[in-house]
Amino acid sequence: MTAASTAAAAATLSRPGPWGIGRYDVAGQPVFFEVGWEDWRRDVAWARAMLADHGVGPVKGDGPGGTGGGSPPCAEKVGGGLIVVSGMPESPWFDPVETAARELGAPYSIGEIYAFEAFRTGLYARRLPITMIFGLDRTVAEGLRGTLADGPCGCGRAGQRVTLSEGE
Amino acid sequence: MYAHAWDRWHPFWAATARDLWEIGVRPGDYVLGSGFKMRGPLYHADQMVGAIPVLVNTGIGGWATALDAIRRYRPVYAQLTGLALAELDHLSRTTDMREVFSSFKGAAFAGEPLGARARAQLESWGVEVYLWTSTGDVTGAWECRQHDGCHACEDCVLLEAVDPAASTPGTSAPVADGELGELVATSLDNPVTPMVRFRSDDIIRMTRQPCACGRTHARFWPVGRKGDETIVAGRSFVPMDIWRALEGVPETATALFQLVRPAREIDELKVRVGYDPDTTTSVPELRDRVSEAITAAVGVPPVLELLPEPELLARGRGGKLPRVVRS
Repeated sequence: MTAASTAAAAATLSRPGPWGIGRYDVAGQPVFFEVGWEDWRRDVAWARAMLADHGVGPVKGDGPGGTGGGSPPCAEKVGGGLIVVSGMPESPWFDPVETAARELGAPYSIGEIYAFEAFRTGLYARRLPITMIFGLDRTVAEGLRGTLADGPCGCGRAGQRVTLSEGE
Repeated sequence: MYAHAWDRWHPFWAATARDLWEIGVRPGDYVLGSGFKMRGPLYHADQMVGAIPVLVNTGIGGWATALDAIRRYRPVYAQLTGLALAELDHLSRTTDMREVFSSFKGAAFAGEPLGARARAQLESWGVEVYLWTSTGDVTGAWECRQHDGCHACEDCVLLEAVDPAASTPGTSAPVADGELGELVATSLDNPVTPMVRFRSDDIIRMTRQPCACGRTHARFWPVGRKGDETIVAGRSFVPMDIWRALEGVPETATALFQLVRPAREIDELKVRVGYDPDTTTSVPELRDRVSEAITAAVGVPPVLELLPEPELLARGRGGKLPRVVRS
């Protein structure tokens, strides 16, 4: 048994159900909903276009490096990466963004939505060539306040005003 | 921080798909989603075997709604953590857990040791528990239906158990089959973060004897973290010793505790313990019984900080409570 044989065996299986089941609340009442595979593919296509518009894409150098000039492809010279801040139950909304980033060839990192995980989002933003933080919520933003002076652009959440600057 | 590259399925979780199949997850089955995402899309393992993930909150404070999802979709599998079990323990007082879990073929448990009481409780609910652990963060290693050690995925990782006392992997000798050793991992299929002879600090007992299930990859049993051994007043113990002691006291039976240890060798055994406020009638009286239980287990009387369980649960991280803290 190998990873390749596992993947080959899995490829022969039927997938009789939807991509997954999601849940949200309306007026305190739970609403469960199916995400079909076609729904998911449409969401991925939308996310690809949105991310590409914001410059999310492969991280590249501008030359061969060394005596050839410029920075090698592995250099962190040009941005293009993405941090997706989301929780597992939010995957019906955020997985298409992650999948789109991967299809675009952009490196992406996962930041959780809990206060104790804010450091992880900050670490990625400071150390990796990140173009965008997607899904930043108020909890994580408060944990990062004042730590990302010249950071990437942010895409927050509807209904939440988040700020990263001190004193706002 | 480590990275992967992949085309369709996340490699860490793709390896896990074979373990879900072993548990009995099949195409069309519903499974309950995991509570945490920092390791990536765990549901890829579900989808890879044709199952349908139900993505609800199974993290801290989410299990009341998760039980609602279980009743609606009758999933066959869930991923559990120690903090989830503490929450389920409370919910079990008002919920028929045997009925809730009657659709399950199995549940996985990871993140920290599974105490004897917690295992017995899950079994009383009709849940077959499969332990799994990380192989030096390269991939997962899961129990099979024999429950006789965690199977390494040796197509993904080169696994070694070496003398824990050696200063570097280069000078360390492999220990004999079945002896205690430190887990050292080398990734075989990760060109992005190719860890080479990574010393995990995990103490394991490993065997290369074939399993009764027929698989021939190495199996191992996690024993503890190398750095967790503590010496107080000349006596050596590990957090599991305190764990077992607390399981024997009804009000602290969920074994939520932290060993407060600024250094490996300490003069004073300070333990922060969570108690169930619903069943505790006298905290001073409880303090006496907890102190007696820990003293019997470790041989040294503890300095106790007793907190209601919800306050201690709030200090949880990623589905588990840090058991050894500096303050």
